[in-house]
Amino acid sequence: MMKLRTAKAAILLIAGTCAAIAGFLFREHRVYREAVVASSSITEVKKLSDYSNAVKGTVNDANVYIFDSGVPGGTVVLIGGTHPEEPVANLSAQIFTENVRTLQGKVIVINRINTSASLGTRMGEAYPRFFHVKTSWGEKKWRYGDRVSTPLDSWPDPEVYIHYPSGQNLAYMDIRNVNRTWPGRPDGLLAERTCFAAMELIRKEKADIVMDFHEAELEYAVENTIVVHEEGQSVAAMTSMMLTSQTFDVPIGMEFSPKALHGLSHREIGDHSDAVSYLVEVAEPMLDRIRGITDEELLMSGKDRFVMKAGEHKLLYSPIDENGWPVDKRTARHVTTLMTILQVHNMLTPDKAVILEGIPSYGEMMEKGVGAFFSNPDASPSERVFYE
Amino acid sequence: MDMVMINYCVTVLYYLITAFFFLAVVRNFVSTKNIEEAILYGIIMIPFALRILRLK
Amino acid sequence: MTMFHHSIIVLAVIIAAFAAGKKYLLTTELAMFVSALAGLAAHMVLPKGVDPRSPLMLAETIRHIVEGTFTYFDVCLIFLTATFFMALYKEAGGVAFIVRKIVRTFHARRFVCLLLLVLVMLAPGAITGSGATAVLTVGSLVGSVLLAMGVTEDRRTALIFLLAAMSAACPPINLWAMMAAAGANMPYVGFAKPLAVLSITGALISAFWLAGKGKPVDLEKAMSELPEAPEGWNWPRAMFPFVLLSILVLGGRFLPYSFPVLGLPLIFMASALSVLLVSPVKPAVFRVASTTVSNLLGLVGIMIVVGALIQIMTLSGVRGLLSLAVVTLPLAVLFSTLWLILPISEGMLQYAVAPLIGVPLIMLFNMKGLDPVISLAAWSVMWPLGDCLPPTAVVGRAAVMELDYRGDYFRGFVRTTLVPMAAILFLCTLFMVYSKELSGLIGG
Repeated sequence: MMKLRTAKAAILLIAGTCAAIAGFLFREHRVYREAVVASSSITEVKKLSDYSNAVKGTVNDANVYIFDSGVPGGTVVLIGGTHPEEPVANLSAQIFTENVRTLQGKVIVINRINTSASLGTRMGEAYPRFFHVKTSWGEKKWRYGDRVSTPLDSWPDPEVYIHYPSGQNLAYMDIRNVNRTWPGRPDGLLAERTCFAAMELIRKEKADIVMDFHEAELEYAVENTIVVHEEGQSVAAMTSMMLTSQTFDVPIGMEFSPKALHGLSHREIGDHSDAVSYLVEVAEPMLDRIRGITDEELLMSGKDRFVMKAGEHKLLYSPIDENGWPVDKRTARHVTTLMTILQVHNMLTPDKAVILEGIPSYGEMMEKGVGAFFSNPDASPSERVFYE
Repeated sequence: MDMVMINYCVTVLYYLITAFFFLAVVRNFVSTKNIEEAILYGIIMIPFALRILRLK
Repeated sequence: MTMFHHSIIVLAVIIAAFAAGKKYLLTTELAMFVSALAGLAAHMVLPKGVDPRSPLMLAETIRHIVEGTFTYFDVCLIFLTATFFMALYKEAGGVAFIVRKIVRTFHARRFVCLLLLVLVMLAPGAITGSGATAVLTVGSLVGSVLLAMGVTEDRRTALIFLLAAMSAACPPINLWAMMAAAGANMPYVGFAKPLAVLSITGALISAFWLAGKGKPVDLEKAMSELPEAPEGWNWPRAMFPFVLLSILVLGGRFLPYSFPVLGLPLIFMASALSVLLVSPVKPAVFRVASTTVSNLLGLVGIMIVVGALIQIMTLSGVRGLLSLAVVTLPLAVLFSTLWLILPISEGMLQYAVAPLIGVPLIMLFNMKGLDPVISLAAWSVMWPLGDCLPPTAVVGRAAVMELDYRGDYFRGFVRTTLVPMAAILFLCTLFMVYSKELSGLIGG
């Protein structure tokens, strides 16, 4: 009897210790705040709830960085962090937030549209909690995350998620996936409300262009491409041709948003507002199910021998070699793609032009690394430092 | 009561359901005479406890 | 040492630790937990190949184990609440009442009775996507009716398992198809018809093969062997919890934008509360909850431990190694072996096989010009058949537990499932091979 009690006490002690250590690390991840140094041309930082009460008081009440040139022109909305397991989406948006100078038109950036999904890593995927980018002033740290909002912010899921307003059936966890809940609804679950608030922003700011940054596994057919609503056909086609012939070593494609696939930004934003919606994808080997050892190194270098082996068997939609898909290259592609889209857009619709300065070129990012374009929050004026 | 508030109440009920079964696990842990069962109850308790504490 | 060697050795350590755990008479769940820990230790000490790797701190390894235990947390809650609901209902005498009524009404019409039982078994799994839920909610009820119909113990248990597997595969909810489709960024659209054809055909083959023939039911004998229902039960009372359950499930389905998102655990708990309202006798709620947890210890334990094991397999590259091994097989080999690979992998990893093997297979089949929807539907009917195989054997063990099966697990129960199971696997393989041709007929 005594032996049993001692054993049970030992079990409780061990289980309690493990729970305490893991709990501490989960909490550290959840409460970590990322510093953002807005560029000197920032005109206003709003909250998403300034556009709709649907997200007021929730973790997804994101910062909305507004850079208004004061010169009449177009408005572009950049969305990062839709899927926080795709870190380049967030980094690309933040390159704009920290560097952009607007000469004509208006730029609005949301670095993290689904903050909730960045507050915990995806269960069963063995992800690291954080990732780091080297800068001249030290390492800058971001939360790595999940594809969907954490259950701590959106619980429970339905047995099947029925998309609003199409009525299309989707997998239950997709009700927490911000790229399955567009255009959203004001009284739905967190991701639906987040998309609704973002749609309100897009409509109230009369956005002309919306860009949603993503990354994709190399096994996925929609890879290294621009997915565009039919309204943006000519701009995306020209962008793809220009980048493939002049700038990128691996071509970037262009494809139309399928009309029967609902909830995705490239379909619904275009359908429910006057904006032309674009989504860009770049190869991220960390997302492949056939990947090898899972760690931050893989996330940042994009080097994986198992994924390369799948490539030898012609199972991939993107090339990969021992140089991998480093984060600098992935970010540089996204940033340059948007800049080229704007260049073409300005050419075709000069009255709605958005002219930007200060954004590093593809070559600069590849040469210096993306870390060179993030400012030290400790050495920056406090009125320009914000936290996500 | 609007739908957001109703869904919030549903979430609270989920914490109560989790706590209810957590207590049942604890009760079984205390009453079992089998060490292997006790170890398994110990492992099962961890996610229940961390969810109730809103840590994961 | 390359990363391939690293992952192969970690896999070998995991298998060896599991085998050693079983040899030293640990339960399956604990042996699997030990194998996860051993795999983690091997991953930490072994060289990891030529490419640079990030350091892995001890505290992070604990975080990985604990994080893995959450992977199937919601599935565990569904198991617990569904079983709690049915345990309360059984304790209150509702099951005895319904079984006696079915036997009295249908004892002379075996064909109709079997069809009714197939329907009763398919419904809960079709709505929840869980075969275990089907067994835990209506398994013992259907089992009692089969007993009264003179179906032997082996055949009864085998049939309950197969119907549960088909109910999990049956649309609208097939979790394997949903998880794999979500992993491959495909909408869960167009699966209903192929899934319905395969799962309903499979259920009917199983039912009529295993229980189609038998002596006419001796009503008086059967009634005397069935437990008595307490005084006060009647049809409205007996049906109320199920009507409530159906309303709450269908409400979310038909009024998705004006009905709150309740989720299955809350729906089962509400149904359980309704049992307390309508029952003429009042069961001891917390005692039933404790018994439920005790009965489900193996099921819940395995789901929690499997989650931790998968996290370690992913961390160490073993998951990728296994996925890569499957998708680099030639197509002809895949066609001729998937009927074995899928159920066996399901027995090992449960729902986790859908993203693990399903997603790369979808990519592969898509690339080879086969129809991914029909193919995934066929795999998603094959997967649940592995739920009677070790180490997890979740639904098989639930069936054995609910029916109080006393025979030999493999030589009695599993062997009896083999003929209908082979027929279902053959049908699914045909669907997979001719997916392109069939997509015009039953595709979405």
